[in-house]
Amino acid sequence: MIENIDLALVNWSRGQFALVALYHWLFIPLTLGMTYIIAFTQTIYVRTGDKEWERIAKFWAKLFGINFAIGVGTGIILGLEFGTNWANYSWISGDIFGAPLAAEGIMAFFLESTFIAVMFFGWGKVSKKFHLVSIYLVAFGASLSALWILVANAWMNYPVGMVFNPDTARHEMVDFWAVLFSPYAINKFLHTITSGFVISSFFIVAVSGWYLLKGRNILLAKRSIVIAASFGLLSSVFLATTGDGSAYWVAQKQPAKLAAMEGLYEGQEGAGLVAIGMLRPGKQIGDGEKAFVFKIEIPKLLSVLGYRNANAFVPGAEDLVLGNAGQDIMSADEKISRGKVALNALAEYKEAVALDDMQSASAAQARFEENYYYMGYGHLFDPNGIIPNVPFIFYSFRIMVMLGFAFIALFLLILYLAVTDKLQENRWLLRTSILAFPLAFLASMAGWIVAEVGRQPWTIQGLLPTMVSTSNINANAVILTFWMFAALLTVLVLAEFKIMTTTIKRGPDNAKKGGENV
Amino acid sequence: MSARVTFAFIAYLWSFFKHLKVRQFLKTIAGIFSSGFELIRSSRLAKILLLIVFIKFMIFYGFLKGFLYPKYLKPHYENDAHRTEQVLHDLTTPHKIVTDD
Amino acid sequence: MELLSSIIWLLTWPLLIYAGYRLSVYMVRVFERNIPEDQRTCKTR
Repeated sequence: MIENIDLALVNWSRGQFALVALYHWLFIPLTLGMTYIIAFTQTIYVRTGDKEWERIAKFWAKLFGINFAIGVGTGIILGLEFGTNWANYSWISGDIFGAPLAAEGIMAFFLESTFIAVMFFGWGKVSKKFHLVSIYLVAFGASLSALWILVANAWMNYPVGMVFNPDTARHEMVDFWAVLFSPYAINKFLHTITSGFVISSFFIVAVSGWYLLKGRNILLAKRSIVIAASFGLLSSVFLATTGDGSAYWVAQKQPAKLAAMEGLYEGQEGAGLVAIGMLRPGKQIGDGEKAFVFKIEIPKLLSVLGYRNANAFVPGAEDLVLGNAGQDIMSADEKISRGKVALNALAEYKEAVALDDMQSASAAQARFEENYYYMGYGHLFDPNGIIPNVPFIFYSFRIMVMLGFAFIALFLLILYLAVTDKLQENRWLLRTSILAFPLAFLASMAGWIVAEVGRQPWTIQGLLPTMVSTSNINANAVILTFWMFAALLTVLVLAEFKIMTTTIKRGPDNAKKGGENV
Repeated sequence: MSARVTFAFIAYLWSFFKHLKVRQFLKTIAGIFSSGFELIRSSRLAKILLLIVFIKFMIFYGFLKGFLYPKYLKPHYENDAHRTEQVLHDLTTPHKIVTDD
Repeated sequence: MELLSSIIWLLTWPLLIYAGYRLSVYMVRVFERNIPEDQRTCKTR
């Protein structure tokens, strides 16, 4: 019997999840980063007693509150989608995936929800120190929530700490610490939260820059820029470091993603990193054509970043699909046949257990376990399908990296001119800093595209392809809810934009027009 | 190591609480709540935000989670054994891709 | 070993926050040397 896979259902389910996740991510970075910046300004107030610092903290807390109120709960839709659109995936990995998600709920509820009330309503009602601690707890609570989510996400990229139970068709957790402290997860967490810090810093620099351009709230704006640019500079440098760590782990565990990120078709020893390049349209694996129309390459850098060795071999898409015996790389065809052996063994195990034939069941189980790591490949039709969309990943990666390095330079310049009090004279830089805020979001979204589209064709790397992860539901239901969520989340984002801009225009003193000048 | 850090953290938090008498603590909590109510009463922005949160949660929990998903969208499984059977079937049955074309 | 290096790497998160705060305070001090005295942070404690 052959089962049909409805490609419309798979693609719309992916599209819907991507849509909701990207909208959700519009709110999250500001929650992650602004809390720390508010905490810094409030700390200075508590240490010096200067009321202006409290006024600054209160103003940014108000904008943070708007973002929090409108953004809170948008992640609920993602949670619901696991049950509706991704029922097979939820069942197969629920034991592992569910634990971090539940921990996230508890952390978010106890830390964020409890102390956020003290943060918003505790000004003057509780001691300054307790209030300050509450702000830090909200900040750390938000980051901890992100940790749990990213642990779950990282497990999909690098599944560890589990065994597959053929009786229940579920992955069961055997090593919680391996899942929590997976190097992939920790790098992903650090990379993601620091990207939130950079976006938040740009938000504060952009709003403050607008005040300086308008000649309003000048002292608040200057002080805020100094704090945000300092934190942003440090975070953007750390972001590059964690990006390097992420690239290292991608090279170790997801070579197909790395090949797509670099547009690398033929593997090389001492491979260079393409700084700037244009891929040849229509390039196919094994067609013998050059991959690039032009490229500027930094020699050996890809080998160094991926393997910490300037002469290391970096496999290209063709090595991964066609195999490379010299480098001990198995071909995709071989993996697909081993995967089919695993799936057949699983089917035989199921039948043998139903017939109570334990001897055959145990033989089938042994064969399944032997080929378990290729299980996902057994569902694939085309060996080329193990490589994700190369141009999409290649260009998204370049957008992220180029903007990331530009941000370091920009923060450095903004900070230098801010501390020397020359920012107002450089109006072009203030305008650039306003533009940098949406660009920071663009870089971040590009990063998510590299991470998630780059994982394709898998939901769980090597073990479960996306097309088998979906639910047995009608594609039309997914299409209908796609547009419903698109409309709902667009309304929320527009509401955020309108309320934010109105509040920013009014300024910290809620003035309808103008505002004080110092 | 981690136990010592946890203990130090709890001790640090406790240092803020230990000087508070229960009555004073409850008064502080009441103060935070009254401050919240006052803010919502006096601020138009707070009212709008509260309304957005309320409507949003009504849609997410009331409409989506309470009605639409379980009734129309969620795949139906009689029990865990049935679900295991379905998933094993999907895992072990050979597939072919169909499109609308 | 992999676990230990992950835990150490995770600890850079609070360190980053602390370094962020120290750098911010240092930069505020540098900034305040370049602005009029009446706009500087008053030390009331």
